[in-house]
Amino acid sequence: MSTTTAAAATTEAAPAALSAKGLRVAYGDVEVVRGVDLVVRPGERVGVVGESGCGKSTVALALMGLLAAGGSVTGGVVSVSGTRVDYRDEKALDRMRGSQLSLVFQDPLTSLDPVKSIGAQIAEALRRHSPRTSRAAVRARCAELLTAVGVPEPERRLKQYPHEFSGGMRQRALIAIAVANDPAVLIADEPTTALDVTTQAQVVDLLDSLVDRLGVAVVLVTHDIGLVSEFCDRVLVMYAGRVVEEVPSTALFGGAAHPYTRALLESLPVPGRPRGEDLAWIPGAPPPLAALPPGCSFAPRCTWAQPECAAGTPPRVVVPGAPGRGAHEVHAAECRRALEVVTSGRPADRQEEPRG
Amino acid sequence: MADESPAPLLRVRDLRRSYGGPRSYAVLDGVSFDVRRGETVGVVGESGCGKSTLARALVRLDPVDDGSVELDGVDLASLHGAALRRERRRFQMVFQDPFGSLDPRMTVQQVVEQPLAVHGTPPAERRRLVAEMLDDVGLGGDFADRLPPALSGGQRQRVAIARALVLRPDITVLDEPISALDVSVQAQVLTLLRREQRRLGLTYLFITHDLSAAEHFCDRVMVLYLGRVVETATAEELFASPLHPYSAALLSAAPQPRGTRQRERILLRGEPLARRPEVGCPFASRCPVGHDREVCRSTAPALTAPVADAPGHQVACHFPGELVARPVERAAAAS
Amino acid sequence: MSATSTTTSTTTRPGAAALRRGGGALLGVLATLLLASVVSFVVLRAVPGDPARLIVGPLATPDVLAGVRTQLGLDDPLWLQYLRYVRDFATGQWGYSYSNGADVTAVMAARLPATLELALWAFLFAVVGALVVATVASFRGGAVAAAAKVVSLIGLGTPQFWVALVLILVLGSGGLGVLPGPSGRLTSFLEPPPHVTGLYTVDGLLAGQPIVFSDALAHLALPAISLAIIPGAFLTRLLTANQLDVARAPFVTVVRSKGVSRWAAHRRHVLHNALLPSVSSAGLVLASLITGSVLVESVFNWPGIGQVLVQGIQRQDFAVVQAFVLLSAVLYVAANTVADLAVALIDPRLRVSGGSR
Repeated sequence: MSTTTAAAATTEAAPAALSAKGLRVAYGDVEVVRGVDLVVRPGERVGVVGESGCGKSTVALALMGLLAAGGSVTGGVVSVSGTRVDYRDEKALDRMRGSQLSLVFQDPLTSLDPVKSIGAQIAEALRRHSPRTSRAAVRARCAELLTAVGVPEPERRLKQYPHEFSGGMRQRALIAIAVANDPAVLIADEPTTALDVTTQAQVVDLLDSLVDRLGVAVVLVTHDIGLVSEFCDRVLVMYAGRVVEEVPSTALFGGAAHPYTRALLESLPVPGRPRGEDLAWIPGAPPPLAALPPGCSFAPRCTWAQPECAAGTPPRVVVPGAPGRGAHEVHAAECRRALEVVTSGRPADRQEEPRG
Repeated sequence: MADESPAPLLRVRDLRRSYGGPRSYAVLDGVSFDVRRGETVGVVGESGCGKSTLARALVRLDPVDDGSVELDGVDLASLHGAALRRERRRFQMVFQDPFGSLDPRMTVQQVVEQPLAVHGTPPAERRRLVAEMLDDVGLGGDFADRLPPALSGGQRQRVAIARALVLRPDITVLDEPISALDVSVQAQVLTLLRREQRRLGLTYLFITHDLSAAEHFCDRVMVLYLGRVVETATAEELFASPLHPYSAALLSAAPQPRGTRQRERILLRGEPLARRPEVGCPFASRCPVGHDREVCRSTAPALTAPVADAPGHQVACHFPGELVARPVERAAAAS
Repeated sequence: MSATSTTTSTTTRPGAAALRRGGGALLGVLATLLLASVVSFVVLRAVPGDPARLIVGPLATPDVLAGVRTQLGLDDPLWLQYLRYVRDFATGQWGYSYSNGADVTAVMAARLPATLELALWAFLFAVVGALVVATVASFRGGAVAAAAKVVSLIGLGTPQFWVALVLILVLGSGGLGVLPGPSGRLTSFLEPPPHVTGLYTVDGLLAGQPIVFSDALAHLALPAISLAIIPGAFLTRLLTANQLDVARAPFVTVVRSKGVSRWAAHRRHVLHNALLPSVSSAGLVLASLITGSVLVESVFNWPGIGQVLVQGIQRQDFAVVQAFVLLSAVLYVAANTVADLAVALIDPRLRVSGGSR
């Protein structure tokens, strides 16, 4: 894995590949994304992790301007490579999508048009942004892309249809579509969830080498915290529509500063952990976004909670990091007791009995 | 932990199940294994390996084409009609989909009570058992009157578990019981399952694609590939030293936090097959050590126990233990 | 298959599987026709009325009646009558229409082109109308979609003959006089074009007679529109529903993520995918148009097989009705088969059998 602090220092001055400040998204009356900050530098890999309903997929779609009907970006400033994005300008959004900002979706089975050949679907991405390219040139580039994503016999495969591809190959084709125009940022929404473990490994390996080669920045949205901790440089943990912790991946395991992150990590069966020990789990359920509790939205389920937590919004506490860490790689959590959480080895209290 | 000496609770021999008439393909091709009372045996594999078919065949949701399934000496594969119905209380299943496995029009109480009613438990006794069971799974009080659509995925799965365990079955097949749940809820359900096992002395067959869950939860693990058992071992043995290349690849495929990875990830070649090849090892085409070896392509390996002092660690491979992930070079660790 | 091949499953040769499927379809067609023939035979036998008596009239003597009965084979066992019926139909001997004074086959052959022309134009109007309305409705959504829904519901419930009469009253000879009313296929002083297909519009074009073409078209306009309303409404609802369904599919989001505009994505992907399942329904619609033009033909005095059927029923002309029923069955089955074949040809998922991965 490449990114080093040296590289970080030299690109300090370049505009962020993607910058979202205070992003807010609402579906009807309900705010599902409540002020998310996300900054991705060129070539960086950022993970957005959380469980279902936390708003991470909404963030991905919102950034692309592809929210489902009823959803809209209600606040925040988003820039791609320094240029401000206006989510009301469909034409500008169409120009941005596929050329500067790309999406890799989950479930390759339903992410490809079943009645068009793979070649046609890759070509569509190319032709949309370079309409005057000759057919031969487009075809050549499509074959080149398929080879780059590791699909053998590209000439033959281009003429085939999605149902003739396996799940892993379809995902590779989707990645080819996404990188066809050398975008600045690739947003991947659960790109490996629908795949077998061994195929996941292949696809992650592909993403890894592609990203290194092309220098494209990646925003990886997933529920798989293990995946982001390996693949990404930095991780944003989301809960109930907000980013509750932002942490460099190397500091993630063992150094989580937010009780939710910590609880998530402790509920994972990690190979090597003593088998007799029960996994910790989080009682209760995420709050409904239409009726959030006052103060910290995680407080009702938090083993670290204090009466003040329900009183007002939790402060953003910066965790002092290891020396040598780049200025950009901040570690912060929205919790009053963040510093205590980090320094302690185990949580203060542990739940023993399941509660409904 | 279970004893070594008494006869196994469940004895499966040469289980075979095929689909599709004249050009039929055996999704399960001669699977054999034992489960001892009180044990948790894991069945691990990816899509196409036949694990769901195995689950359904064991609980007689689908017929068995060949082979025997003996539960405490009774051959389940040969039972039909009323006799089968009577025996059903001894084996139960928890399904993967918490949203599809519960009738949305039956209350929680009715769902958990139904198995008892079917098997002739008197009404007063039924209510008592249901109340006790719901309390155990943490759905006591007014949960009994709720309908499934009002419950979360984790809660529904707990109802499904209550339904399966209320009959105190001899063996419970858990078919990917946590795959459809959020990560934090998965831990809750696993904890519950383990607790009930200790309390009621249950035996589990835990089917999953999630290796870490299998390692954590199971005593012994069986790895399936394209309808055949490729490795069987205790959880410790399997995760400490996987002998079959597929097991090694599965293990190394799991993501590891940055900086903690000890061994390089093993990448398999090519794409997963839809069917076993006619001859040779089913894994040969993807195997880093066997894809270009004559014996692997021509002869299907049999299950053997190559390690002298671990007779329970069986593997079907011509070159067991040869594929070992390379240690990671600690060259340019930046932070 | 070799173990080293990269294709992952054994693929059947495309030819073999297609043959198998074609053979199965053929058997299905034959079975359906057989069933239709049995039903029509039984029903027509069960209907009161003695065909022999109808032919000879109420004043004939019992001897003459008995003679005609023997001639028609009405005294033979039922199964023999049935076999004769099937054989006769298959060989084109559809009996004698006493009310028309000619063989039924000749009568049908003479009248079929008129109905075909009417049905084909109605089909065209219905399909084009449905495509336009459904695409606009599903793309724009909101009020436009709601309005389209209401309009198509009304269309579904409007009787053809009522529409026909209203159109004649408003646009035809009863009102504005913009289009010809119930005056047949051509204005009286025009000669029909040389017979190639029997369809005046097509033949007119082929013979290079634009006046005939436009006149025939003008005469076709009102009846075709009347006939097209109900199937048009049906197709509109079908296409709208299909497009809305497809528009929600994840792959449409992926297409948008390439930067393709919403309309281009709808045109290229949503419409294409929505049309495929509609093809089979379209085939049935065409068949129903050909066999169900009775009312419109009556109102417009259109010389097609529908009119022949009505007259046959009124005059109890057994042979005509029997032939029409079986002909309808054949047409439906034919349309269905053609539609299924069309789908199999254009849907790539069905083209490659065995599903190699």
